Amino acid sequence: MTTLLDVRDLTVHFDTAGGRALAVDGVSFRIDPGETVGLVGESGCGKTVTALSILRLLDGEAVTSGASVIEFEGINLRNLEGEDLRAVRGAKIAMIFQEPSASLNPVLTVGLQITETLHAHRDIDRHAARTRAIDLLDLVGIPEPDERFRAYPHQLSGGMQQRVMIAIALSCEPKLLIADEPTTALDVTIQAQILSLLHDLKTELGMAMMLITHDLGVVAGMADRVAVMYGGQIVEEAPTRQLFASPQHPYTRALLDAIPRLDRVTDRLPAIPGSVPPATAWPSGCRFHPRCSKRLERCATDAPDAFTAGPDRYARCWLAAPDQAAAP
Amino acid sequence: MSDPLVRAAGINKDFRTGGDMFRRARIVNALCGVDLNIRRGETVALVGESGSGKSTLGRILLRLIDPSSGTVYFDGIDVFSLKREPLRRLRRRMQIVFQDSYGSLNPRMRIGNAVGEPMEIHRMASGDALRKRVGQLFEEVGLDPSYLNRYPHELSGGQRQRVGIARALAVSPDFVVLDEPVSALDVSVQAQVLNLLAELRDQRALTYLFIAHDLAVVRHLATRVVVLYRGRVMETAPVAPLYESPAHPYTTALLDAIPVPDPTVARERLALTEGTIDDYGTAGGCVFASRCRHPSKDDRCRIEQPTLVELGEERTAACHYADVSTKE
Repeated sequence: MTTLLDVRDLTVHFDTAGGRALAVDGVSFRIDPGETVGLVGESGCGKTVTALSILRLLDGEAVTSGASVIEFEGINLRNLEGEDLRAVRGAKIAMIFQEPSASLNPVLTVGLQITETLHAHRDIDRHAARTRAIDLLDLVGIPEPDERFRAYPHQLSGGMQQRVMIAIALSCEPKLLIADEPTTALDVTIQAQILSLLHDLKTELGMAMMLITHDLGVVAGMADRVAVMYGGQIVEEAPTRQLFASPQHPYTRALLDAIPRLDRVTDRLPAIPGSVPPATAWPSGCRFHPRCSKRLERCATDAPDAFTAGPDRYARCWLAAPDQAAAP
Repeated sequence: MSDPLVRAAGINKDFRTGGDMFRRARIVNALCGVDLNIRRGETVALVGESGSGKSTLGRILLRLIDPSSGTVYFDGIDVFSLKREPLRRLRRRMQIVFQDSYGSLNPRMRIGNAVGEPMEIHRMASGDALRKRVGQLFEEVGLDPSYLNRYPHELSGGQRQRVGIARALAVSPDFVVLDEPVSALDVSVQAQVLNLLAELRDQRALTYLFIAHDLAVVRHLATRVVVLYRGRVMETAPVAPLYESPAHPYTTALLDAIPVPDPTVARERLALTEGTIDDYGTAGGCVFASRCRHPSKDDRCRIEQPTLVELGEERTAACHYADVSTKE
């Protein structure tokens, strides 16, 4: 199978009043057609900047290093401009965001916002666009799609608004859907519905998906592979089942432990101490070392490489280094 | 058993929506005959989806809004009978922490002042004594005292929520309403804040009402759970039995919606809980009937509204087919 998206050595920085913020630092990953890849980490780890750079949606302040490659269907998106770029955005790669109410235009009906996308990318007449939009609303599980076609965003609940966003994203049958925290603003019950919808649609349409979240619980039932980000780098990548069965990076382990679970009652929840440092001042050595419970002496000074930790998986941690295998 | 610290009796709250010169307004029963007792030292979790009325109830308990009928007793005092000055004195004893720590802090006030302000208002301290108290509060909630002169936007979400907690605790309240205090935070930071809330409760002998939409989050902190749906109490139970054998099908649905951080079981769990809290069409019957998946659901559920019945061991449920032993 040919790779759909191949990101190599993506590096993005911002020059801020507080110094240079290295938001994304040498990130490489691939997504195959039809595959779901989870991108997981806390706020401030570079997940969203990674996603936005794929679609070239970052503003002028962001500087992407010259060596970065974002290859989609064999074409480096970084070389595209104008019409060529627009032909990819929204049509071949679509994106949905955390706040559907902030993404939808409050003064336009949802029908118009779907047909707008269709007209932008396809040679389609008004009547056909309307029919297609109503089909899409039906597809994403909105009851009475004929009625809802004329509704304004504020007349819909948060879950319904996110369904509209998904309908817009799917309108041109993208090959890749980037979902950036699509359920974080929703109730757990509605989250379950939206995740279930995304899972079904992906299977039905054969679309690939990049699912960005801070909650490993969300990717467990969705992703084929998971990449964990910390400090602007991917610190561990593995097939989902392997990642959950045997996390190699202490950060992955800590994220897993922090999820409140029903089947495990503890006196204290295992929290990760401290918080993500600012991107202007990543710690020396391993960027996670100040918060890591398993840190070794060398972690403070030597940055670990991405060590292979089995087939299709690696971890950026000295504990996964070959010479560590023999150590206790 | 001692008298409850907070007792709400027969709370109804109607909101008028829409309507103008020519169209009749719709009356929404946000709360319908809700009774609630919170004993000293207890943490009662109030759980339900957006629109269930849980925040409205929390605000009525503190007399931030008035009920349409019913009243609230705080330590035996009818809160809604109080005049200005006695009410002001009572307010010191009951505080609230909001979900949106950014929206609830004055963006132009340094956080040290924000934490000290309630003590000034209640004339509890001034000058050096006030500054010392603020420093102690910072320490107590795990904020670096060097942050005293910072503004809210300079803090992370978790740090801002700590400021919100310090501000609520500044006047040494007996009772604190926690309105979705961790919903906007990363999983890793949620655990930190939940642990902090548990520590503070134990050290200061606090009584909490913990409002949340996610049953996984409250398990760690709550002693008793009240499940609310469309303004009505569906189930009340001590924390352990509720999770082991939920009596109401809505509680079961809320539990099933929680993502399971295990890729081997997650997928089959996703599809549960269809519909939303806005689904009407059950005039006279059980408010949950349209979404209910209980195998015994029948015509009775659509016609006859179930009342809250005792199930023993401090448990009640409003379901014709409530059965503590339904869940295997």
